[in-house]
Amino acid sequence: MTAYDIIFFWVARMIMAGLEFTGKSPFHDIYIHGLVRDKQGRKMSKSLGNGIDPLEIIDMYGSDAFKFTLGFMCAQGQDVLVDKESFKLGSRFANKVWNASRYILGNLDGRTLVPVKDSDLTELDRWIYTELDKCVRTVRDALEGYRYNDAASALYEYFWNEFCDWYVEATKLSFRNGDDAEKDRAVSVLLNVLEENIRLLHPFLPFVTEEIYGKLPLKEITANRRSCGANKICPVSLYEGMLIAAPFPEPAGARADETVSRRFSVLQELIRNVRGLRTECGIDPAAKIHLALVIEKGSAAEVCHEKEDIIELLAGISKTDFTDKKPANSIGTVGTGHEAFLMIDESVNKEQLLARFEKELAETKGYAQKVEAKLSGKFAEHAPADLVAEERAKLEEHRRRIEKLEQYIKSL
Amino acid sequence: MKAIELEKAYDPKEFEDRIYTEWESKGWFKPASDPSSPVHAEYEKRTAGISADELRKSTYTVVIPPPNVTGVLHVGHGLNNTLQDIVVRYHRMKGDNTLWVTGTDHAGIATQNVVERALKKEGLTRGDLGREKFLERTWAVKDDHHATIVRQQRKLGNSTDWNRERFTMDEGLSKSVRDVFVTLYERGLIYRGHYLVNWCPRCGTALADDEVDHTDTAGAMYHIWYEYADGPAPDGSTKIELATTRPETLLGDTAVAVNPTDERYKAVVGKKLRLPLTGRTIPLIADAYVDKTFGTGMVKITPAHDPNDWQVGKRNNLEIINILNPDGTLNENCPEKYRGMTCAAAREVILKDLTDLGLFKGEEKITHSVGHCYRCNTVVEPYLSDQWFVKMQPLAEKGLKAWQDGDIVFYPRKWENTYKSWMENIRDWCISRQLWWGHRIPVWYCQKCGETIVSREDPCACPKCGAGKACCSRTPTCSTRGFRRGSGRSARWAGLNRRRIWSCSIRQARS
Repeated sequence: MTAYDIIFFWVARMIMAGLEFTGKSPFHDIYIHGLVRDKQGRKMSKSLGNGIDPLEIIDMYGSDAFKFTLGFMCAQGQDVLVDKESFKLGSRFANKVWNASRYILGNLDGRTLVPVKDSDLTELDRWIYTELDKCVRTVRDALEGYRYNDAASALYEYFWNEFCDWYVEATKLSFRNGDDAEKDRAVSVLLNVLEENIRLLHPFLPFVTEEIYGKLPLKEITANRRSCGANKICPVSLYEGMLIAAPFPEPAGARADETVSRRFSVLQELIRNVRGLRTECGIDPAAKIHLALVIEKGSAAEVCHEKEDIIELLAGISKTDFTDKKPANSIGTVGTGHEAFLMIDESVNKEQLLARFEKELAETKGYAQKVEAKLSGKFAEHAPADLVAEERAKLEEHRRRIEKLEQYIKSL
Repeated sequence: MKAIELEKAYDPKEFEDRIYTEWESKGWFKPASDPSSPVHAEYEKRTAGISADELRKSTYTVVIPPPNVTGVLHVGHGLNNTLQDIVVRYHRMKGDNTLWVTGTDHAGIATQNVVERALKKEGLTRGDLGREKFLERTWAVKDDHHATIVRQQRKLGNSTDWNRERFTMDEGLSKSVRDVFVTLYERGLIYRGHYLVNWCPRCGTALADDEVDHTDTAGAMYHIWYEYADGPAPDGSTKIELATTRPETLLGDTAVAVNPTDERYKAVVGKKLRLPLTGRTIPLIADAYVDKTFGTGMVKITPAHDPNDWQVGKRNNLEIINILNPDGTLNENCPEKYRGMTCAAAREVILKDLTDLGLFKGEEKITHSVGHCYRCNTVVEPYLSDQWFVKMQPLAEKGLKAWQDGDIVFYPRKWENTYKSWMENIRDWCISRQLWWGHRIPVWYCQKCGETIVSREDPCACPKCGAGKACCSRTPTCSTRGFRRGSGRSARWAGLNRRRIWSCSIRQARS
C-alpha cells in the first residue's frame, strides 16, 4: 500500500527481487493511493502554508477523527483533498458513536439483561438487523477491494441514520410504553446490536470503539447468548477479549428480510415527507401537530395502519386520522401509496405561513421568467448543449415548485 | 443492573494513549500464529488440521513503506498508515493470521544531505569532520527522527508488531544486501560499467533525474569559429561557425556534427577541424541527431559531458574525453593552463583566449533551463564514471510473468498498464553511489594486482595474487577512470529496494 510515485522505486523492484530470490512475489495485492492535497488541489508545502501536521489534528480531534476522515475521503484512484476543517467530519462521527453508546448504556439502569431468541424480535428489530446485514456486506465487500470511502460512508449512513435516528429513536416506544419484561427485552436487543455495531466500526474508529467495548457488560451478554442456543438473526459471538481481535460481523442470510425492509422504507418515506413539510412550514420541531393520512388500498403504505405509534413518535405527531380525502385546512405531500396532510390548526400561524408561501411564490416566478427569457433568446441556439439542458432543468424545477406553492396557498 | 456511565463528553485524550499501551503491552499486534499472541491458543485450535494452502489463504501481511529518517511524518504518511491500519484491523478481526511489519529507511543520499546542511550552518563540511565523526552525527540524526516517527505512529494507532520493527541498515538487512549483491553478481546479473550520470560536484556523487531541479537561468549563446585543419572547403571557406552555451567544454570535443541531409554541408563532411586551444584535430561528421534549423546547423560534440553527445559518440565511435575532476574542476586531460579551474572560471579565460585568436564571433544573452542539485543548488554536470549496474531484463521478465499469471493485482487496476509498460521497456539500473551513509557494496580491489573481489565475507587475501588483507581496498585503484587519485571515496549501494536511484533507471520510469 503506497503512493503511485513509489511503484517503481519500491514495488516493482521488490517484486523482481522477491521472484529472483524466493521464487514468489512479495505482494499479491498492491494498493496505490493518491496524494493528500489542499482543498484547491495544490500540493501541501511549507511555502504555501497549507500543510497539515497529523499530530496537531490528533491533538485537536483525536486519532479516530483523523483516521475516519481520511478513510471517508479516500476514493480509489483519486487524490485526497483536505484542510483542517475536514477533520470535523470524523470528529462528529466519533462523537455520535460515543453519545449513542452513552445513551444506550445509560438505559440499563434498573434493567435486567435477558436472553433474546430470534423469535423474540419485533418487526422493528428485524428491520435493524436487515439494515445491519446490508451494511456488513457493503463494508466487507469494500474493504476486500480496498474501497475505503465506500466502506466508511456505508458505516456512517447505517450508524447515524438507520441505527441512531430510526432504530434507537423508535425503541423509545418500548421504554415509554412497555412493561418491565418488554423494557428488559428491548434493552437487551439494543445492547446486542450496539455490541455488533462497535465491532463493525472498529477498523475505522479503533480507539473510541475499544473504549466503549471495554465498558460493555460482555459477561452478561455472552452468558445470555449461550443460554439461547442457535440464533440465526441475533448475534452469536461469545468473544470476551479486547475488541481489536473480536470477530468481525459476518453476513447472515437469515437477517435479510425483504418484506420488513419494504414496509419500513414506506414508513421512512412518509416520515421524511412529513418532517420536510414541517420544516417548510416553519413549524417548531418540538410542536406536536395533527396528521391526516389517505392510504391507497392494497398498497405497501397499508403498513401505516399498524405503525401509527412509530409515525407519531418519529414525525412529532400528536394525533393521526386515517381518511379518504384531503381534509379542509390542511396542506399535504404525496408518497408511495399515501398522501399525508398536516392540519393547519391552532399550532400553526396560518397568516404567517400564507405570507411566507406567497413571498416564495413571487420569487420563484421571477426566477422562472428569467430562465424562460434566456432560453427563448440566442442562448438556446448558441450555448453548448449541456448548459442549455442545465437551464431547462432549472426551469422545470422552478415550475414544479410554483405548482406546489400554488397548491399550498390554495389549501390555506 | 445499574446504568453504565460513559463520560458526558467524548474526550479521546482521556483514553487513546492508555488503550494503545494496553494493545501493545499485551501483545495484541502480534500475528495469531505467534505463541505470545493473546489469541494464539484459539488460533491453534481453529487451524488444527488445515492444509498449508488454506493457511496461506488466511494469512494477511502488510509491510509498511518505511518512512525516511530524513525527517518526521507528514499528513501523506498519515494517510498511508491509516489506510494500512484499517485493512489490517479488518483482517485481524476476520480471523486471518495478520501481521503488519513496520520500520524506517536510512535513505542514503537524502539523510546524508540533511546532515551536510546542518553542518553547513556551523560552517563545516563532511570532509572537515571525517568519515567516522560524520557517521556518528548521522546516526544521531537518525535516532532523533526515529524517536519522533515511532511516537507519531503510536499516536496514529498503527497496529504494527513492534517486536519485528526494522531499520534498513540493521545488521540483518546489511547481511541480506551483501548476499543479494553477491548472488546477483554470481548469476551474471550485476556488472560494473562506465557511463554518463548526473553528477553534483559539491556532493561528489551521482544524482537521480528527480534529484535534479531544472530552473530557468540567465546565460548566453556563444558563437565560435573552428578552422579547417586540412585546407579550405570546396567553397573556399577556411572555418566553420557554431554556437554553444558552454564554451569551456570545447576542451572535451571530439567531433563537430551536421545533419546528413543538410545540403549546405554535404561537401565538408569528412573534413578535419583544428580544435582551438588544444592542438587536437577532430573530424566533421554527419549524424541525424543534429537539428538543421538550430544556429548554423553545426554542433560541437562532447561525448563525456552531454547525454545526447554521448549517444552521437557511441554511434560514430568517437573518442571520449573526460575533462572534469569529481569536484567539477578541469582535469589533466585539459591543457595545463586550465587545470584546476572551475567551469565558470575557465569559461571567462577561454572566451578571452578565443578572442585573442580571432575565433570568438560574439554572444547573445538567453535564458535556458539548467539542472541544479536539489539538495545544494549546485549546477549538475553530466559526468562519466564507473558504476555498478543490475541487468534488469531477466528480472523484469519474471515480474511481468507474475502479473500475467495473476499473482499480482493492482488496486486500482489502471496501474497495471503502467507496471507492464515499465517492465517491458526496462533498462539496466545503476545501483552504486558515492556516499558515506549507506550500505557498502561488498567489493574490494586488490591494490597489488588490480583484481576485483566480490564477496559475502570481508576477504582475508586476494584470491588471484594472494596479497594479504591489507591490500584489499574498498576504493577502486587509482587507475580507475572517474576517480581522482586519493579521493578516498568508495561506492555505496543504492539497494534493490531503494527509492533514490540513478538517472539511468529514473529515465525509464518517466518514459
